[in-house]
Amino acid sequence: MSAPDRYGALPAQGGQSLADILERVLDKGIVIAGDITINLLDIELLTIKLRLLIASVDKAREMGINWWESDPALSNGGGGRGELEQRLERLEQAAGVAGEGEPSTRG
Amino acid sequence: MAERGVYVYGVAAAVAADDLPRGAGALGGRRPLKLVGEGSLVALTSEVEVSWLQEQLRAAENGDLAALEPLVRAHETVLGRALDADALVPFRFGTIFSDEAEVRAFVAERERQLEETLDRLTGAREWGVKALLEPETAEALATASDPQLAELAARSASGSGSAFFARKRLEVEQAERLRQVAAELAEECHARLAVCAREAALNAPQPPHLSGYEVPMILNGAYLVEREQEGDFRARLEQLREEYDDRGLTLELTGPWPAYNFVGATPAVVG
Repeated sequence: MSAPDRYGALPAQGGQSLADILERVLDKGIVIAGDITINLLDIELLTIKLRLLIASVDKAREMGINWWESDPALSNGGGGRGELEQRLERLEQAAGVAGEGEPSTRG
Repeated sequence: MAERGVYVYGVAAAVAADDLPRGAGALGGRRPLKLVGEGSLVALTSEVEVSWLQEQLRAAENGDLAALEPLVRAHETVLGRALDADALVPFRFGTIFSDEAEVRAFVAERERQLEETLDRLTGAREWGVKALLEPETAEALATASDPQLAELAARSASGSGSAFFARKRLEVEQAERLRQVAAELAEECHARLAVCAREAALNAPQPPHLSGYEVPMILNGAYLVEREQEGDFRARLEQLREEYDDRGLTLELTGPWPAYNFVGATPAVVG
């Protein structure tokens, strides 16, 4: 890092916890997939995100706190474990393909 | 691969451009925040060096969360400074286009969908509420209020031959009761807060190693609250706090946040 960070980060106003921020910025918000974004980065991010998510969900389930999963009226858009597993599966497939040759183009 | 990409934080209506940050504060800190306009919309962007960002993320993947923290905080801080805008669609961390033309093309193609999302968010902000339940207090209350548990507790403390088995059974019963109490309290709080919100969403409770709380989290809710309703929402929260304080429940409020939880998970796939 030789160049000065002229446009460096400003101090955060709220002092929000890292967990709250990770949960939102890594797992929420509009996602864009396709040729126009950088796929390699996308996959790396997914890995981090999933690891955090799984840690979070498993720990909660361990404590018996899983009532939101069984109540469709309360669960957020029918997501939950099924969606998470599907995403993990997709990620594993993507990683497998990338390991053998060119990464596949999604979209 | 020292290529530059255009990082997009979010999209707002062009009429809100004056309320959006520009200049300092961008992720990476080398290039300024910049608005890229297209039609009725404007994207909040900054240029980033892709290889630098990948390097940081690799460190984070290898377990160095300290490398990830300034990046996600920068993303959130930029969006947090855009909260004055009537509405803003936050993008997920790590959205990078090859250049500004690609950003414009994307916004043009998705203009209608983005406008609809902005309409849905206009005039409201996201708030987070976490409920933490002190297990000892909740357990003691559950035991005291249940004759069967109270009897088991008395027997397990009696020192008689059956005390050991009574204690084992008590532990199992108490754990089950604690789960029920936690579920009931969480549902109750969520339902009563959701009434004061335009939309509500539930997230998995954060585990202690992430949350920073030693006490288990039983509710991790997000609420899209209209600005005129924020007073009601806070009053409702205060009411719940007073009502459940002696049951070992603590309620934490965070926000306002950009409406991360209310922009839908539908991927906007292009190409």
